[in-house]
Amino acid sequence: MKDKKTLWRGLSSVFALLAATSLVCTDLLFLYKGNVDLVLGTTPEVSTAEGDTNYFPSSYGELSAENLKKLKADEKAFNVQVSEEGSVLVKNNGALPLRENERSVTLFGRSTADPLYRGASGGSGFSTKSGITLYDAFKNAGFSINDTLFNAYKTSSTKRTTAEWTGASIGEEAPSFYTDELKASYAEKYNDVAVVMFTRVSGEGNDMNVVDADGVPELSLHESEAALLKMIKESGKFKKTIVLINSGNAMDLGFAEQEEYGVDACLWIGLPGNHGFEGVVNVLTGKSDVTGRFVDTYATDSLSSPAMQNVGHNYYTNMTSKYQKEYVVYAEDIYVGYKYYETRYYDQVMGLHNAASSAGVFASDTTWNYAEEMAYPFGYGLSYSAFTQEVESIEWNRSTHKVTANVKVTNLGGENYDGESKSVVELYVNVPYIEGGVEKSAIQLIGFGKTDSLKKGESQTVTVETDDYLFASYDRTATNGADPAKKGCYIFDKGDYTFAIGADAHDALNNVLAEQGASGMFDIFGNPVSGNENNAVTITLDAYDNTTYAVSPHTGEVVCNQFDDADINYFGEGTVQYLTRKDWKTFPTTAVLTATEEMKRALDANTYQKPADAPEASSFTSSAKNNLMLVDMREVPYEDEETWNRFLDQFTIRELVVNTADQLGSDAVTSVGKKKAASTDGPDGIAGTYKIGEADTGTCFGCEVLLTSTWNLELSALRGKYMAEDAQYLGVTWVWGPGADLHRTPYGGRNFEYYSEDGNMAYLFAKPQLGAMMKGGLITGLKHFALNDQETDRHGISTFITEQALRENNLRAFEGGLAEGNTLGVMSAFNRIGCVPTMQSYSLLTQVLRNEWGFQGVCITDASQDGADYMRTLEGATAGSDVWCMDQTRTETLFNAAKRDANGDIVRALRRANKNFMYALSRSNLINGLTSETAITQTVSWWQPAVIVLDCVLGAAAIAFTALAVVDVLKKKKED
Amino acid sequence: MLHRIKQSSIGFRVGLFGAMAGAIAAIAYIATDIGDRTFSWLVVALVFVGAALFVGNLFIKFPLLPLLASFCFSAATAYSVYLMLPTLSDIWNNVNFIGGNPVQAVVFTSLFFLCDVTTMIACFTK
Repeated sequence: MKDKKTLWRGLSSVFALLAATSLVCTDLLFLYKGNVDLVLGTTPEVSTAEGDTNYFPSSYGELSAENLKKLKADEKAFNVQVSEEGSVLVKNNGALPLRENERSVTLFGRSTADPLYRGASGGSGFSTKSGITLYDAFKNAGFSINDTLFNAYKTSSTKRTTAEWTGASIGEEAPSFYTDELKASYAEKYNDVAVVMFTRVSGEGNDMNVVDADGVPELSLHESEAALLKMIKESGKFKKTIVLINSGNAMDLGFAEQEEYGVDACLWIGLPGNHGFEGVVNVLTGKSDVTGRFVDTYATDSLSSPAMQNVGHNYYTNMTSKYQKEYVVYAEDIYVGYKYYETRYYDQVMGLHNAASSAGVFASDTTWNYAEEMAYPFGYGLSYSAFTQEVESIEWNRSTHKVTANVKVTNLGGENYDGESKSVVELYVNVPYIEGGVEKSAIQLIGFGKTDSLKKGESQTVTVETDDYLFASYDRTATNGADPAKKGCYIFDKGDYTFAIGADAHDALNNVLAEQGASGMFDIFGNPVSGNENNAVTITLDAYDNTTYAVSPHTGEVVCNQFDDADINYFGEGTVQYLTRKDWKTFPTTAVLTATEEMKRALDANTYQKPADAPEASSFTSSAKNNLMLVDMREVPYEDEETWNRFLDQFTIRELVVNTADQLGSDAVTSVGKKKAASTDGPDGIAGTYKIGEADTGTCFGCEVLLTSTWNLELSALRGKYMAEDAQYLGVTWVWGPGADLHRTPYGGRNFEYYSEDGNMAYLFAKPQLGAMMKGGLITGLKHFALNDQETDRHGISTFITEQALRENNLRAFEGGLAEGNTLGVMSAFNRIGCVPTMQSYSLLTQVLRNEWGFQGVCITDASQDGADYMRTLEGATAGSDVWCMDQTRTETLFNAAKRDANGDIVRALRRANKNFMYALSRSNLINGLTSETAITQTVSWWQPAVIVLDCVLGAAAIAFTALAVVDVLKKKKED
Repeated sequence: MLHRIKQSSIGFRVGLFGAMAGAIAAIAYIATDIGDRTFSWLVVALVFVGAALFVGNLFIKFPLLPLLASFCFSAATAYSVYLMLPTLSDIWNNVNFIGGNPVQAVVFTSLFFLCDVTTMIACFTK
């Protein structure tokens, strides 16, 4: 009897643990059911369709295994081309292209055996089935490779790590790794060329480390790398040393020019995805020219920008709460990347504004000197072929607001290269700076073009047409010309506007200076140059203009100050001194902030109040039978309120709520003929496995910054097209990408999946890509809107910035895609604008996004499940957040507000959210194959009932054994 | 109390050790993991209640107390698993998406689980 008592008690305790664990795991599985479906392959089937119902047909014909092969072949060719056109030749002393008798090589650097194909974020991974490694790319091109050293790297225990909690390490081998035996492996052979590869990895939640495991800035040349280069040089065995930079972040590349390291050529290759290494080897062998240009500034010291003075962990002196205590101040104002270095250079040449002071000195001796601070400027890149570029005309039409430049480009051929090549035409402007007035960059990219493939001796006139909107300045103190009662608008100051082309931003600025009659210019190496005034044109604006862009060029909405409280000085005059061009001694220091009471209330973000004029919940219809299916809405304009309201009237309140809870997709809604849909992550490729044809992961494309470095808008559109094609085979309707935050600093953890440091570059480059994605029926999720430029403390971090910098830099990067890219999806960010979480910023998500830019699609939060402490539900829903990413925890709050509390304001917000979402879905590949008569059924993945049964069995066992134990105790008591 | 411990079975002593160790682990959990997404006061409360119930055996003769203590430790362990798994998924996916300290999560979940096992052993013995 006694034995039984302990047996029941013991079994009860065991099964209680099993049941409890099973229950929590079930909850997790359902919370992340989209991920589970992705892993188990139980995501929605692909939408196959024929004839009239194939609204978004694949350009390869019906979805079949054979056509998938054709698609994959084209995607491979595309990836190779992106690497050829996007890689940037940093230095070449004639070593490249390799000669035909130089095919016996040793690969140095541990990452040659462990290359980085993509950054550490969501999306598709490198395919071991169809991807090409660096090693294979060399082998396929007929190279003999030193396998002794390669295998030593391959079997080494050294690892590259990113996570903060393990200490980020570049994972390079120490000098002691290179034993005499390894050194002997290249003494007699494999020594035509030493190919050295250095790699840096960053990712989601992981910025590059200002101090890494080696105790140095992660983007600097590390001792192990420097020692490796010296070892190669001192061996005297190699004819050539070629360095490959395998990184999406701008490393300190000044070493390439320093003789002690013996670098003959240096090629930045970014993160090349599945097939890019084939393109890299094509470039090395001269099978293709290299025509990429940097879209970031490569300073001598990656810590030297004004933005770098305020990054990483910064906490209010009087706050301790998670998601509230963190902040960052954009004290650099508009001077991000080249806008800082080149503007200060302009003032250095002109002897203005203390440019040559000691403030902000990092690589210079005692006073700031551009040539010493700069390694390679924005727009820089070499090619094997030499080109001339001559301005034929540059016109600024003040009526059409277009700037048109015609540039004649001629291929002069190369010393060791006689193949075809392309040249990038970069168009910049210098706008008049008025002392103490609105901040102005001395040079600003406003447009670009790329030639076709030109043979030696061939010429082509490239026409670059762009909008003058891209160089209007936002002045928050200006009187709005369209509504004088309002403050702030874009303005043009009167004065000289000098347009110039150049090989890069610095070269263009020297042409501007030449045009303006300046002297004392020098190139990036400090060599005196005179500039070329023939490649610059000055056009004078006679009068101040505060009317043209007092209204939005996209919608006509008055554009005025919306983000006063994003400026930290709003909460206390003079709290922070932003960098101003009128005195470079204002170079920023790290801002130390104390939260005021007003800020604390804003940080709590619990601000929802039902408006007095909120409609009655009963004024909205639900559960109506109007026989309007999702597919019927595919051509109903957004503005047709009557039809959309009739469509929305069909939903129950529960459906309105559930539709806003993303689970890496959304369930079917049978009443409106909406199928189950899948959404997923991935700027650089769509996560998932093909549902037709050979099982393989979605194509991993070269990283976004590599794509942008092509300066080729046709490739941007092609990337969008291929992602949309891939989505059809993956059964995906909505992808959360591309990314359009800025490379505010070189240390941004996700720079690889954002376009550039320059807002205009992102503006121009995103448009064709997003347009092509939507044309192919793939909803985008341009992210992370906005100011998510650092990953450290990204949850809840207060981001303080002036409205000028916000609009001209950060919002500009999103504007092209969202206002002009015909796209229908955007993702907000984890951070705050000022103290207001982006997902509950009405100014951002409604006033700017919809009213100013005319965006009509769906706005999803970033994964909000863990952020309920500051990403508030009702506040977000009413500010403009439509869907909650991977978050089903908001449904009860929303349902209770809408149903139990009969809050008409929330019902209205839910209807708006559903309209935006359904509007996007009705223009996506989800409707392929649907007609008004198609019957939709709810589907449940097999694992869902399975885990519920398991819970019930374990729970029943735990209860039964507990009951037996209790009965035994009671019996014993009775006996006693 | 010492007399009661001396009289108790080896299983009870193991459980008592585990319960005390659980309480100490909970203190360490507060000291080192607070603020992380893998931290929860609910876990702390369950562990302390579980430890108190088990120690209560020394003063109150109620045969179900070890079982109730074990329930608390099981709930604490399960909730700790609930917090830990999403964080561990980042390692699986090689993406710092969810966040949280996986080392701390694994260490403390394992500690709470081991303490739970000791109370289970006590449940199987007199």
